[in-house]
Amino acid sequence: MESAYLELKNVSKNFNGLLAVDRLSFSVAKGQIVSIIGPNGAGKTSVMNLITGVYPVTSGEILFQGMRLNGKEPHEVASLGISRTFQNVGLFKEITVLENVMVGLHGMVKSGVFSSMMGFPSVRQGEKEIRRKSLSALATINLGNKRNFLAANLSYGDQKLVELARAVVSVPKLLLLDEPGAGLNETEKEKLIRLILALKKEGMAILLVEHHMEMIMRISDNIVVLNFGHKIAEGCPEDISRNPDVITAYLGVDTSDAGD
Amino acid sequence: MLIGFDVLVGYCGQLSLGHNAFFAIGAYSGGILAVKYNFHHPLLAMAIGIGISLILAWMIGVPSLRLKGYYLAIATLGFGLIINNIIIGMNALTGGASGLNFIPSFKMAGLTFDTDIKYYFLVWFFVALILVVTLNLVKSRFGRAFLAIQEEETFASMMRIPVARYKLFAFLYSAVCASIAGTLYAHYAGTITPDGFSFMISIHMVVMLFLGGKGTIWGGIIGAVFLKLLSESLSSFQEYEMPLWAAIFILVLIFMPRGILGTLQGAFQRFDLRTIQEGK
Repeated sequence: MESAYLELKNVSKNFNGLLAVDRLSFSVAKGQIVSIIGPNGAGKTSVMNLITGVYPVTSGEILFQGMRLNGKEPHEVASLGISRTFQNVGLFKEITVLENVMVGLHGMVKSGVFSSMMGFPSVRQGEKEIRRKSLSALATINLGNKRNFLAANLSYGDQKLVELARAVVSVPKLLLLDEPGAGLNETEKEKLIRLILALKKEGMAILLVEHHMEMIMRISDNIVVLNFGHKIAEGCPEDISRNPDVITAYLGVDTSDAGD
Repeated sequence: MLIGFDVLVGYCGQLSLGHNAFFAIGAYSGGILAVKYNFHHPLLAMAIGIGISLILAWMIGVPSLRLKGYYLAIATLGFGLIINNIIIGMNALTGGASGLNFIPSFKMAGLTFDTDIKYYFLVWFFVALILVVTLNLVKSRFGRAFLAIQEEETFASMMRIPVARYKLFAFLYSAVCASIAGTLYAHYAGTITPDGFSFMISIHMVVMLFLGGKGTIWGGIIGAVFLKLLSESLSSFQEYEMPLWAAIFILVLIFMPRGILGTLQGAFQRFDLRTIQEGK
């Protein structure tokens, strides 16, 4: 494997005695799509929250391009070039679609508070640039004509696309997608898959949490299977689909399993 | 004062109930320096008031703004009451409950603002200044960041927005605006008493902002003018002031949750949308 962008080493997360993530290790390389699958409550979203610094890590180490992410604030993690989307659409619903994407470029310009207050030309220039990039990002998902809609007024599928556009407009090195396909119809899912593959081609590393097995099998380079916070398998799609432990966890042979 | 308050409440979604204190600090800075120390540079006095407000706002803001929710409202409520009591207690400097008298007129750039008309222009000069600065601010990337923070801090932080620092900045900014208003008021009124800076001021600010339309900047001005006119015309019912304000607030929240300006904007947008659709 070439240079690992993201690397988790024995990462654990303990929520008041509940072990949500248990000594998890895996890595994502440049231009690679890694998927995390597992039954509900397996700790998939927790892994995303640990990487982005929303929750502090209990033990273990998270490295991004060799730099420790432990103890960093979410905005610091994001500044290193890590973007994410959220499980149930993380858009700001009371502002417009365009403004949402523009927030995604907040860190692009470095104009200070003072020069913003004074309305210096450099600030206007930066704003123009942010606006131009945001509009072209909306154009790639064919939603340019809905740019002035409040985000809340878009269909669920469109909201998901806008959120994806907002996450990638800043051209991150690593993209975390939390169930991007949930609630999408077949056409929308196809569109999503094409977008994700295009991003991979550009060299983005992508970590994907998903339930749609068909989509995962089609686009993943590597799959990590979690059950009760514990990694029970890891490998390429063909291996995973034949792994007996995975089948047990998913079909819920053990009666204590939450199932899916 | 309301313009700065809108940045905090309308954009960042953080509620403060202690802005009467910053108003008072500005007023007493101007008053005490002029009356007790014969210091006749109101602009410098204003700067000193701003400095004191900034330090105090920072002390309250740092711990309470790291948390989500209404901690700032509770902390500032206490702060407002404390400052009011300190003003009453520090008799020698502040004149205690009976207040400070004979505060001279505002002087700036060789001009003395001693009549109502002159003062009117002075106040609008500052309002315009703050208005321009604030509009620039909220139209920049920072305004968008503030709105994002108001909706969901976790999402905002993933957009590389340092949430705690921005909330603190909005709070400091609003404190500065309140302090400026305080100094201007002291030199205008000539007399200031602790009663004039009670907790009710903070409540009035909230009602004015919601009536005018929060998150619109201009809304604060509209709300202030509207409610000032209303309370002047109803001054014969002074003992009913509290319930009256409460009633206005509740009615605004029920029938115009976006305030006067917000409701008008909404109406225009709907109109726009309809003409676009019909045009097709």
